[in-house]
Amino acid sequence: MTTTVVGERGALSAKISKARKFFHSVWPAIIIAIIVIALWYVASNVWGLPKYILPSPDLILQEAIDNPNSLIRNGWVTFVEAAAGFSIGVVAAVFVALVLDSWRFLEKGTSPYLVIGLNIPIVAIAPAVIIWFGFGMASKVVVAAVLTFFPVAIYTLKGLKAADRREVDLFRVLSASRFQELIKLRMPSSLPFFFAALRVASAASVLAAVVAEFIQANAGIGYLILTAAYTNDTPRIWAAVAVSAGIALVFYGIVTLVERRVIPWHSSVGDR
Amino acid sequence: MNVAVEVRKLEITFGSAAGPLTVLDDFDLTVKRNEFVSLIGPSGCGKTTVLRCIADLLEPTSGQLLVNDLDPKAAVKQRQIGYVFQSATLLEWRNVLKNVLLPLELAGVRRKVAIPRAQAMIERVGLTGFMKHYPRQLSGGMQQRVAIARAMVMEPDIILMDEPFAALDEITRDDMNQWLTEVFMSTESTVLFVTHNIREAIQLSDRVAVMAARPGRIVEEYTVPFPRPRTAEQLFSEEFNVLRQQAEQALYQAAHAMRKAAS
Ligand SMILES: Nc1ncnc2c1ncn2[C@@H]1O[C@H](COP(=O)(O)OP(=O)(O)OP(=O)(O)O)[C@@H](O)[C@H]1O
Ligand SMILES: [Mg+2]
Repeated sequence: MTTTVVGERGALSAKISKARKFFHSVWPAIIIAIIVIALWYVASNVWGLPKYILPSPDLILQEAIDNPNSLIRNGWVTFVEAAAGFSIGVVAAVFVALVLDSWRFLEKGTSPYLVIGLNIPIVAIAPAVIIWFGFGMASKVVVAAVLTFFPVAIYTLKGLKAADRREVDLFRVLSASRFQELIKLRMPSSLPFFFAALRVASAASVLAAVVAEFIQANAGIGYLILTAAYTNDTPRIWAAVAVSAGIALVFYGIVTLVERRVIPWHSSVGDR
Repeated sequence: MNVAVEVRKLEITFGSAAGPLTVLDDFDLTVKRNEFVSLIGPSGCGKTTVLRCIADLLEPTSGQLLVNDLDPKAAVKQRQIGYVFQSATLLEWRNVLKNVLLPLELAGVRRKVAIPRAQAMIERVGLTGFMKHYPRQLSGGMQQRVAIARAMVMEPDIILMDEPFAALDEITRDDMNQWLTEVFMSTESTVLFVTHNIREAIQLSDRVAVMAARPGRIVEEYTVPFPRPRTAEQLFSEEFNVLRQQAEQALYQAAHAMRKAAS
């Protein structure tokens, strides 16, 4: 009997300590947010920062409460575009990285172009993509996919080559086939690189979708910001900005959670 | 078939920016089946390089190498060689059990057979309670024991060990040495063991080979006359001491010559 009690208590205290750990990891960020918002509030309401430059945080909140529908509708559009582009970009990047990894000639031939691709400014490619894929969501998905593809492909490829030389020796002495070496050594070694790229790409895909909407769209956060700008409706602009930041944060959070589950052994993940 | 490892006139020359560096030259070594041979020598004399050649990780510049009458490539392919590296080299994403399972997985051994085998091996290195632990949760000595379990789980004919206990304190090291002697006595394995520690070398081996550097070659060999298991009396006997002093002297001269050549 006693053992069950101890067991339950153990499970409960494990849960509590997990919650406490989570709290410990996020509370500095929360404190900083509170301080910044408080200063901002003071700047607007005490020091007289004009509304057309930066509206007070309570005005922005008020706008979100008064007109939630367009924020939700347009936010959803951007969310779907970014999520679809991100997913397509990741799948394509992993596929390309695996192909290039096993084909030296192609890797050498394409690596300079991958680097160029990594440095494509969104604003430069978005108009062309919109001409090809139309004003709708498809063109935004493509832009988000392109911006996801390059970092993920480059870092995954790099990760596939990052296995420790001694570990490669180990696999050779154990007479591993090339396929076994890929699956059991090089792919696991690449995961920390892969996830680092995913973090970058998660925010970049949201940014890509918003910027593409900016250029030509009939829905989405970028579209909302643009229309609000025509009427100098700064609270609306900033409410839209907050929503897009929220979407990026959700993406980032999901990537981090998945990373914790998949590579708990890696030093980049939480406490040791 | 009485010879496990045969090395004849081995030469290894590395090309480098500063010009070619001959690390081994005219290196000869014969290890008989079921023999335990230690290789000692000053740091940088080429001990690891010898092991790497035997395990087909390095192509000799010239000379002959036979492992169980096969060339090293074939011996590796037939999984006749186990190698404990100078650093533990555990896969950080696998727990202890899965690290020890790795060679069995790669050889395509069925899981039902493989798991009990790996567990038995982990028990043998005294880590039964740590099967689910990850490498970073283990001490250096425990990691090294996992590496040994991994090298031995396939029951290879020939085990190459590169300073496996260098990171351990004297007491744990003695423990591990005794354990290794037991394991050695209970298997048909042949061991080639690299160490800096003369006492350890004599305690474990049938034969101790002392290497000199620049180029690396064997300069002295000592046969250890004590039968196994080796008792405390033997280890503290006059005979042991004499042997130890001789080997120490040879090693000292080799290291001294190396320093002189370097300056
Ligand atoms: N791949 C390589 N390229 C060039 N030089 C090398 C290479 N590997 C080893 N060497 C050189 O060969 C020499 C012998 O190295 P080795 O690792 O065999 O020494 P060791 O006897 O094992 O030393 P230690 O006891 O410190 O481990 C060293 O001078 C080293 O610099
Ligand atoms: Mg060495």
